[in-house]
Parts: sequence; C-alpha cells; structure tokens
Amino acid sequence: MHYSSSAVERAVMELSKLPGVGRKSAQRMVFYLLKQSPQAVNDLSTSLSDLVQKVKFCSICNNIAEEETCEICRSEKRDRSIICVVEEANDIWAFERTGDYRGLYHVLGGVLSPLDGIGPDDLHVKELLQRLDDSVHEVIVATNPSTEGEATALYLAKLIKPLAIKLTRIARGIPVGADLEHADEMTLSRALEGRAEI
Amino acid sequence: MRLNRLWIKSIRNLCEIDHLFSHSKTFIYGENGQGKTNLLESIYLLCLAKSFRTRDDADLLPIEADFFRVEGELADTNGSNHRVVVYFSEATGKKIQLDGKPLRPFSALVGKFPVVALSAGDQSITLGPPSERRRFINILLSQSSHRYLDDLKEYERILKHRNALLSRSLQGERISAQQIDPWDERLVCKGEALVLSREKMTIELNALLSSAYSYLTGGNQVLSLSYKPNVPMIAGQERRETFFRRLKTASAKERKQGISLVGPHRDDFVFMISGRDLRRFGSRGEHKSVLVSLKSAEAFFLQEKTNTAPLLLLDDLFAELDEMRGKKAISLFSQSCQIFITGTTADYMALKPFLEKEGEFDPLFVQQGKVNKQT
Repeated sequence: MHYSSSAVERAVMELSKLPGVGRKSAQRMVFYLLKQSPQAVNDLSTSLSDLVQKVKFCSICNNIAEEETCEICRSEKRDRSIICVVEEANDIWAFERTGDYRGLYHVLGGVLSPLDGIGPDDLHVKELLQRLDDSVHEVIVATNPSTEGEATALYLAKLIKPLAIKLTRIARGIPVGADLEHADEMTLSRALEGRAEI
Repeated sequence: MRLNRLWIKSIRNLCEIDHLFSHSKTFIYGENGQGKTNLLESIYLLCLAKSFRTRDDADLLPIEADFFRVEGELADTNGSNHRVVVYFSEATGKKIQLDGKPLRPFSALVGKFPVVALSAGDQSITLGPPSERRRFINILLSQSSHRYLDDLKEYERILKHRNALLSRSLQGERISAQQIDPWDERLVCKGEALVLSREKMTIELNALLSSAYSYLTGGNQVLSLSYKPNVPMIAGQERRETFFRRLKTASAKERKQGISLVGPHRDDFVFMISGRDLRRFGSRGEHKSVLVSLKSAEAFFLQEKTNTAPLLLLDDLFAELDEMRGKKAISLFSQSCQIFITGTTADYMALKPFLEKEGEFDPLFVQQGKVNKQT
C-alpha cells in the first residue's frame, strides 16, 4: 500500500516492527497521532529518544538504570546477602510488585536455548559468579518454569553449589506455561515463600 | 461419548454435508475413491486436531477451495453437548473452536473426545519400525492422561535442545560437559516419567489384549505385548542411575553422531503370540488379527482411564479381516462404543443381515463426495 507521504509510510513501518503490532494497528496509531496536538506527539517522541539516551544497564545486576548502577543496587534498605536471579529486567518489576522481597537481583538476559544458539556466554553468568563473595548468603534462582528456564536453573546450580552458598529455586505455584511477567502478585508471593533448595 | 451431528463445509472431496447420527453403528459404503475414508478422517480431526493419514493439514484442502472446515456436535460422558470446529486455510493456518471459543494450544483437545481409528496405514504398527509403535503408544497414553502428553512434549523439547548441542559439537564447536549436564538431568527426569507410564500401561493393556485376541481368533493362542525400554531396569539399581550411566557411556558416540542415542525416544514394543515374535514369524492373517485386537484393547483401555467410551473408526475393516472375524470384531467393538465402519457396496450387501440382527444402524451411501442416507 502507498501513502501520499513518505513520513507516514515510514512511521507505519517502524511501528509495525513492535511486538503485537501488525500493519493495520500501526496505521491506526499513525492516523491517531496525526490528529493529536504537535506537543503531544513531541512528548511521545522525546520519551522514545530518552530511552536511547538516558537508559543504561546497571553495571552490577544488568537491571534497567539511569545511572551507572540501578536504584535497587544503590539502595541502603536492601538486603545485600540475597541475590535473586531472573531472566529479564521486567521479571524484577514483577517481583517488586509483591513488596515481599528485599534482596538484590541479577538479570541473566535470557535463558540457555541451544536451539536458538544461546549458550552460557550469551548470558550474564560470569558477572553473577563475580558477585558471589562472602557477603552473599543465598542465591534464589527465579527463571521461568519452562523447559529452558529449568535447564538454566540446573546449569547455575552446578556452578554455584561448590561455592557453599545456599541455593534455592522458587517454588511452583506459577501456572506451567505462563510467564512471570504475567503472573499475579499473590501467586508470586506464594512462590517466594515456598522456595526450595535444588 | 457420541458424535451426534457432523457438518462438513468442505474437506478433501467432501462438501456441504450435514448429517445426524441417530444410531450407535454407522456403515459408510460406496465405491472406491468416493470419500468414505475422508468422512472418518473428518471425525478423527474433530477429536485429535489432526488427521490419521497425513501430518500436513494442507493435504486436506479440497481442489476447488482454499480452506477446509469441519464441525461436530459431540456429547461427552455426562451427556452434555459440545461443538468442535476445525478450520484451516493457508493464509490463517489451523484454527480450532471448542464451544464457540478459540482453543489454544490444540493439544488441549486431546483426551476430551477419545477416539480409536483403524486404517490402512496402521499395518505399520505391527510390521514397521519401532517409531510406528511408539507413535501408537504415545497417542494412546496422551488420550488417557494429559500428564503424559505434557511430559512427552517437554521430553521432545529437551531432546531437541540436547541434539542441537550435540550437532554443534559434531561440527567442531567446543561444547563442554558442563553445558550438556543440565539437559542430561532434564532428559532423565522427564524420560523416567515416560518410561514409568509406558511400563504401567503395558501391564494393563496386556490383559485386554489377550482376551480380545482369543475372542477374535477363537483359538487358544495367547497374544501379549512386551515393552523393550531403551534404558531397562537393572536389578539393584535405581533407574535414574542406570540412565545417567548409559548417557555417560554413550557420550563419545553421541558427539560423534551428533544425536541423542539414549532414552525413551528409542523404546520399542514387541508383540508375541504364544511366545513367538510376531514381527519375525507372524503370518499376514495373524498381523491383521493382532492389529484389530490392539485397537479393541486401546478402546477398552481408554474407556477404563477416561470413563468415556471412545468413538471407533474402522476403515475398510473387511479388507483387513475375513467375514467371520469381521463380524466378531464389530460385536467386540460395539459393546459400548459408537462405531463407524467403511466398506464397499458388496461388503455392505453381505453384511446387511448381520447388522440388522445386531440392532439398529445408520447406512450411509457415499458417492462423489456427497452423502445419502439409504436403506
């Protein structure tokens, strides 16, 4: 389909690259934006370019941050002896919503998936091991209960067990086949309570 | 369980069919190539979301349409009615609706409406390679327990990941033992669950199998199924330990071949008639009788496990059995199940008096993709 403006064409193309957005939805968004005030559209575009300019990844845990380290790693109130290992940064937000967890996090940036060619070197595993000094008393492995998440948990277990640090895996309670991101607070609270050693 | 009504918009050579099934037996007859088997295939599709003849849904497309659509009204054990729609087009892919709502994943349909089919391709269960027998057992167990289906899907996914690592190792990439370890552990965990289910099933199926065979053949030969797991139980050892040990021993070979060599994906099952291996010594007639006995044992097994009598689809039964055994098979199958039989017009004429004696039935005449109710 051809639009009379190449700017419209380009905006539709860029938006339709987003997850869950097809070409038709992208068109609807663009025509909606065209009807908005220039200020509203500018705000949106600034917020997007801020993503590139301001957002960094925490040098300690790989969480999303605006400074060298993230708010959680900087916070005085957090328990520095526990590290909860998650797949992605948005899993942290899911845990934070429960309000039950006061320890630190570590974002792996994915899971082991040989079919997709993702091995240990593609994940932030080395960085995790570097963090495990005497001050750390427990590591909680909170990867998703998927085929790949379970294998990743076992892989980490083999690496961490020899270090004589308490190692736990979040308990089931999360529906099998669902993502942490979509789980409700109650389910996640229960899963944290019932965590078990691997 | 019952199929009360079948609508076919179009599938293969069938189109615009709307049929009510009022009796527990339906005899579908007509000349070859008219669409009898396609009718059974459509019913199978409603129960298991796939065909028994092909893995590729596009094979079911009619020549002159770019989609197929089959709908059925099925009553479960409690007598409540459900509507299942299976739709496919190249553009949208396959879509399934259960009671008006989209169904995802499709495997959620498996076991809701148990079905047993006997078709020409099934000869490979007794004659073909081990993979054919595993396929049969997997369908049987998946319909009787959703847990088994979940374990199987998980096992197959683990296997794919593990094979990906091994094949990269084959191509010269350095893959450490540490990288394979977690997949070994998962493979053993799910593999053990599959083996336990298969072991238990074999014991239960055997009782049903031997009684069906002796009824069908009227002889005193005993049919049994013996399970040959790739990782057998060794006395005094935990199965897990044996599994891990076998993986360790096979490790170098696996890397050399780039594929997983140990686990239930290499299991086999052997049919024995009074101690003789059917595959090596069985006559053609014996193979056919074993197959029919197996299907009847499958039906009774599903009934026991799910409390639901499955639908039975018997494609060209009389090409498989002589008239006497065919009649016995029908009596055996129709004890509790709704059955659908296909045959030639000649088969129908020969069998009509017998069917009438056995109770009421639906005769269906199929010609050039159309269905006519005739008597």
